[in-house]
Amino acid sequence: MAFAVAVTDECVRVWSRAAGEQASVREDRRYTPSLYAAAPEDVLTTLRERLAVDPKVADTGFERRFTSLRADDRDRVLRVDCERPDELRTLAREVRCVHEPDRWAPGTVRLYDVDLDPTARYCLTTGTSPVPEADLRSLSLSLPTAALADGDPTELCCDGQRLAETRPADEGAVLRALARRLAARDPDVLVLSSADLVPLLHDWADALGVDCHLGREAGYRRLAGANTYQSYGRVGHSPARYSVPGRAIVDRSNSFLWSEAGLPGLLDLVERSWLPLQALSRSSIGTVFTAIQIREARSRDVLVPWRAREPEAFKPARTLHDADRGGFTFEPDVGFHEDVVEVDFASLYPRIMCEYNLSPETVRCDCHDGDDVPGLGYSVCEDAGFVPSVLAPILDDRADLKATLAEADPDGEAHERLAARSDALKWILVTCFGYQGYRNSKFGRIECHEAINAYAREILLDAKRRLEAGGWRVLHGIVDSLWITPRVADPTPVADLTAAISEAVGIPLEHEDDFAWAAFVPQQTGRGGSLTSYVGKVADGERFKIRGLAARRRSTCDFVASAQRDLLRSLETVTATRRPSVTASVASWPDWSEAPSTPRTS
Amino acid sequence: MQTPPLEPGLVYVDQPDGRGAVAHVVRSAEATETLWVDAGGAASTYALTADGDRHALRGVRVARAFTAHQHHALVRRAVDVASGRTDLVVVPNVPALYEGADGPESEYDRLYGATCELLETLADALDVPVLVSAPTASDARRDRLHDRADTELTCRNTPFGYAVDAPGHTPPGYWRDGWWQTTVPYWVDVCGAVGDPGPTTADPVELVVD
Repeated sequence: MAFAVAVTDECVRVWSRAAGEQASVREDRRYTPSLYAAAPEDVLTTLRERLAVDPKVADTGFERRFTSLRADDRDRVLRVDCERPDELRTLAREVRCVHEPDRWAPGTVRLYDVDLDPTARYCLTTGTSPVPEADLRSLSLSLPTAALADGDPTELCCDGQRLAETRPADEGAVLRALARRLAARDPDVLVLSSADLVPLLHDWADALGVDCHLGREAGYRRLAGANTYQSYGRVGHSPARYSVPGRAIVDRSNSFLWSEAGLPGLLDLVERSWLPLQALSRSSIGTVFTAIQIREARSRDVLVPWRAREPEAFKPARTLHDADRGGFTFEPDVGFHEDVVEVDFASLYPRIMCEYNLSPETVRCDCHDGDDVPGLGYSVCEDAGFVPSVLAPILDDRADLKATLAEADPDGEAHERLAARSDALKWILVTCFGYQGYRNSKFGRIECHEAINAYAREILLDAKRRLEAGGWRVLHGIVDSLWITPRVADPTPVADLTAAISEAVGIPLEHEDDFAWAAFVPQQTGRGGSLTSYVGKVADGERFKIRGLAARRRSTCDFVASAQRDLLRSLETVTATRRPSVTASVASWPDWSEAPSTPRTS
Repeated sequence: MQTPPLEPGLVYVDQPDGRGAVAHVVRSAEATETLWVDAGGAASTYALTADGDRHALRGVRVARAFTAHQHHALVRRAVDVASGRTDLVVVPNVPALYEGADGPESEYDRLYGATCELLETLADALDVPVLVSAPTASDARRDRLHDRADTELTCRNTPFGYAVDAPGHTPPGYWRDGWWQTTVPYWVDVCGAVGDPGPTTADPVELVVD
């Protein structure tokens, strides 16, 4: 039951603390992480001989493991134990770039379990749970960005309070005050505004001779340097990473999950992924989802491929034509509509995966030849799927959390904790679908991605048919949401229809919002409706729900966003003075290119 | 008519852009069975069915690679997947997934070299045209592929769509929604050119210019 794990070349240090007790450290000097190689028998034999004389290798041996989720039988693979954890990737690169080119064609040797997080790998391999036994004590330290850039620690705040009592302050006094706080709290977790505080405070304490160190022991390690990267057209900065002995560091400047889910959410994900707290806090959602998958894969004795190399099967171009598309999006009924109801399928995509057992190894499996996936003719295996095994507990737990939340005092501490955990799980559910089609996904497969979309389209169309039969008109629909308005004077109540659809589909269709009015806007080009832009005035409140409009976009300046929101508020008066027939004529304009760039409302 | 006849061997398609030139060649080739190993999203079925005709997809089998290793594996697998009816193999954007791949440059360079070699072997083994292209590659990787090619097609953008040239072949016309837009070479072929000793057709046509 550890809360901090440090893997170094010398040993692994595991920090734990029981409730009401001091933290203790255990050292493991015998740990040698392993990678695995699969290849034809003669290649493995030669490779073993060559690696046996490498000083980086502690030991080698043959084992039988599954090398793919789709494999029916275990393959004989070569296990290579590495003397030093830091050298494991070097060893893998040497196999790929030195040993293989010498003798064999590229891709002859397939490597596994290479790029796992070192601390998670230790926990998984040795069965060391990274879930803290006691409630963790945390301490928050922050320094304004300008002061950090200047290397000035005098503005340092602890739990939101400035440590220095005077201004200008004395660096030594600040560090002594910090040392007192650390000694008094003895935190397990340091929540830092930036990890760069670690070397800054260390260097100042060293220079001034003040006995102040952030860890439970002196010193710190730099785990990785800073770098700049590009992702989806945006340039990002990844700050340097540090660790201190005996405490987990959460770098707020580099932790999406901290900002979204706080410590309760992080700890929930630690329990699922077995990524220790510090590693998890700086991980992306995708990395956490992958870690949860890796844990499931280990339980199935499946190795984790280093490079995604299993390609999709050849398929008729006509199948690709039908399959290579996303969720269903209706052409919106552009204009101003009153009495609008929004219904959403809850966690549609993860539930589809669970309900229909969609997983990389179940879709187009080798053992079935059915016509299961609507419109595509893909078969789906009946064996319990890998991805559903990962997602089902998350879906169930989130449903339980939401049910408990509904009963909890909204102002209470428990409510905040439950909400944080629910939010953490929400992000995993949001990510899981995209990872099926992500090219670097360890366990993704494009056919699974296609099958999920095919079911989603079918489900949305089925819901549309049932709602229309119940006396409603569908104004718009996007992937998992539908906007409807009464088509007849006395339509079937929404609650009855959502219950019937939920029952038929096996996925809850929820009554999301009632709008006094909603407007679906035309595209800027004037051709047809914008598929993802709308605004709705929630029926029993002052709230607007805005999607896709300038006021919602990050690229919009405050002035324009504010002006647009004011304009929307002014639409409130329209409902008192409008003439429905005029609204109808807007919708019937034959050519939006001749119409104003925004819909008229009266 | 629009594209030169494709000869067995490695056929390098010099594209003006990364878009539908290869699909244009494939459409015109009217092969019985086509194997398409895709990279970089070139296998747009919408490009293949440019005139909305799903029949254009008949006989085309596609597999998409999203990583260099997947691409190499698919090229390797194509030999097994090809049948006696396969008369065209299409491998566009060959270097796309090897460039900037996440890993040692030498590993991907070696893998790319092996893929190029496999493509050449594939063309020999199946004795069919294997269309390859490298529209967005570095010069070094493009040259490695180009140097192995037996023939080269040059695609140009024109107001009437792609024009595909090859040594000894210039497109005589472009198919445009139910009609042909002929080219000057077509009429030269039919009527001969001013100053030529005579037209190449059996029955000369006299041109009268006011």
